[in-house]
Amino acid sequence: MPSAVEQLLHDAAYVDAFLAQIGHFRSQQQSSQIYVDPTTEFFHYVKQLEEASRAFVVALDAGRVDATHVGLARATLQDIKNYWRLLHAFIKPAADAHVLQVPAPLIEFATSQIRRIPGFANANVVLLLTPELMYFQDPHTDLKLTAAELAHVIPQAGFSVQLGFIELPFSQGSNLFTNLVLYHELGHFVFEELCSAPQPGCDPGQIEGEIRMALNAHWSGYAALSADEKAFFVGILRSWSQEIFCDLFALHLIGPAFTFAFIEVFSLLGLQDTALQTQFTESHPSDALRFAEHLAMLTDTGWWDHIQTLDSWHRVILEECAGKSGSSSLHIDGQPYPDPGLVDAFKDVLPTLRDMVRHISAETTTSAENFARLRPEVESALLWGVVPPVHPSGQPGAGIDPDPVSIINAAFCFYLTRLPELLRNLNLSAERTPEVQARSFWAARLQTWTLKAVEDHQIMSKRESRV
Amino acid sequence: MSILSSGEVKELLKLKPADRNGLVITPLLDPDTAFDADSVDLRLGSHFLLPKTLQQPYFCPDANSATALHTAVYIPIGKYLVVPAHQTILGATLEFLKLPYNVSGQVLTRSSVARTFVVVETAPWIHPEYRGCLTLEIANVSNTPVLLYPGRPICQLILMQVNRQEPSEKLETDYFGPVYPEGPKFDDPETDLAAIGVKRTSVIKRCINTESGLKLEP
Repeated sequence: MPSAVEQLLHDAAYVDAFLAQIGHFRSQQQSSQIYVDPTTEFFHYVKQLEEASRAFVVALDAGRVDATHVGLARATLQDIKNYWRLLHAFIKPAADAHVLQVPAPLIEFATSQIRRIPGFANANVVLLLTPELMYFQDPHTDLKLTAAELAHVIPQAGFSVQLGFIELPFSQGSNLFTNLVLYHELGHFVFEELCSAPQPGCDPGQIEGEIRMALNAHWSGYAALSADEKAFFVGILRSWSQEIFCDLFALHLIGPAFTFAFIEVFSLLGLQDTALQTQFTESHPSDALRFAEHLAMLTDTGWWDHIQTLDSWHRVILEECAGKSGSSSLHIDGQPYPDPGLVDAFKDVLPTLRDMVRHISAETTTSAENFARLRPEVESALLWGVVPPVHPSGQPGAGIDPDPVSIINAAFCFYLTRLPELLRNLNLSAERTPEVQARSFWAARLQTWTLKAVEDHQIMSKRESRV
Repeated sequence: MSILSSGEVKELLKLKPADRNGLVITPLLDPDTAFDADSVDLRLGSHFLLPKTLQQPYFCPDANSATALHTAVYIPIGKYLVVPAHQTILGATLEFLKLPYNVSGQVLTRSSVARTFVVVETAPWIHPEYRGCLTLEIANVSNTPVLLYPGRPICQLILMQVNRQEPSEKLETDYFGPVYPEGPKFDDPETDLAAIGVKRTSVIKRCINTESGLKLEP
């Protein structure tokens, strides 16, 4: 039977080799690919932690650890293993998300928007490529708490920034339009951070109290439920609240292009089934209610005035689906569930959610008027295959205009309504280029032109701020 | 055909992007120094296509060539790309161009760059109505590796008036609107030559040696 020290050394050697392998993989990826800044900073964190963890493990030398300290050393080694098991899941998907695989200018722009939110100046959202055909935000609170625990022994484990993780489907790659859905996931990141560090006027804890009050008001049997049952139903309304918060947050940051992207992605997933539009599940409110909130927010912020006549199915879907928000059905665990008053109770919470979003995104809210003013110019450039210039009419030194939110929304409107006009301006051979193929190709090109304009804006902004 | 002066170029830049007479160069990062009397400096962009090691010992310009030759690489502004001695790469201008219907362009290596024996652009002519970031064929013909920095001026654009009364009804789509460097586009040689009546064209097909003899690779 090997001694406890011998077992410890065996274990430590295995962990050292494991960390060396991760380090080898990470450095290999970093030397062959370029990453957006948040990912680079994440890898820097991983590297520092690798080195510190290995230094700790290597120090568990037979000469230094005697039998009396083996228990403590084993416990620390276990903490290291536990944390690296969590971190391990993020490294490969982050390495896959290099700049040629993601819409890098959009990510950079979104990060700059998030960093303007009070309390989020150090926010870092790392992109991960996922095999799932869905966008996710990976809850990071557990990771942060585990890191904080480990930081007692290895200080480099603690997060120096607000670190979040968002998963993008690998197939969406550098697409611009569908990837706008990631703004919803950014909302999840912000919401989760606010739960642990509320900002004035934006405290998710406040919603919890309102949910309980609303349930008491709309469900006569609520008070008689057991504590576990109450927690279960409060949890459902908490999930719905977070989803609505994230939708409204995305709309505030990127405008109606988020709604269009949402419709685009969800139709790809086959979730536009009219029978499901009024269905609430334990994790999500109905699409009808979500779209009704979109419509209300777009109206409130002035965007709707400028897109309500858009000759597009996306606008029709938005209006039709929002019009069904008075109906609802509840499904829990995939089965129909008689609604005891959850949906009505939830509607009482909505005004607070709207206020929270207005409050938290006041510094980043986009201007519908700017969009309306610049849209004709952006669209006319795109119609003739031209990247919208960052200085209008090519006047050197005339300032940075139009802004990325206007560019993205105008380009999305163009994509939804005027792509056939662009095709008519091009000499396309109908025999060699079937229309679907032509639309697919030129829609992709339209997105690269739009991303180029966003990137140009960023280059120009950096230049202006330095000169 | 006359070369446009910087004053004429600036006047064209003032027209709307959709104007068929208008010129677009975006982003124009340093308008104070970009214009010479008869040329505009263009900068190197961040996207490159680097040559790949091919599986076969030759390159055939056929319908598969666009993806077979290169690997895409991104170098952000502030970092550099090393071009080894006697190597070639494809890059692109940072600026997206749109030429008027009656203006042609020519791209030349900046003289200071040329004196490092880096040669930019061997197919320098730009047709009227062209749109896109220019794909640059960059060759380091020197005996030493050279660093290229995206964002630095690398070539100059000279614009020339073309005697043409009307814009085309529709825009040509070959190499239209690229933002990144693009590899070459070819049809298969037998297709090209069939158009001029050639019925038999020699092509190279790879074979594999199987138990039942040589077979063409699928």
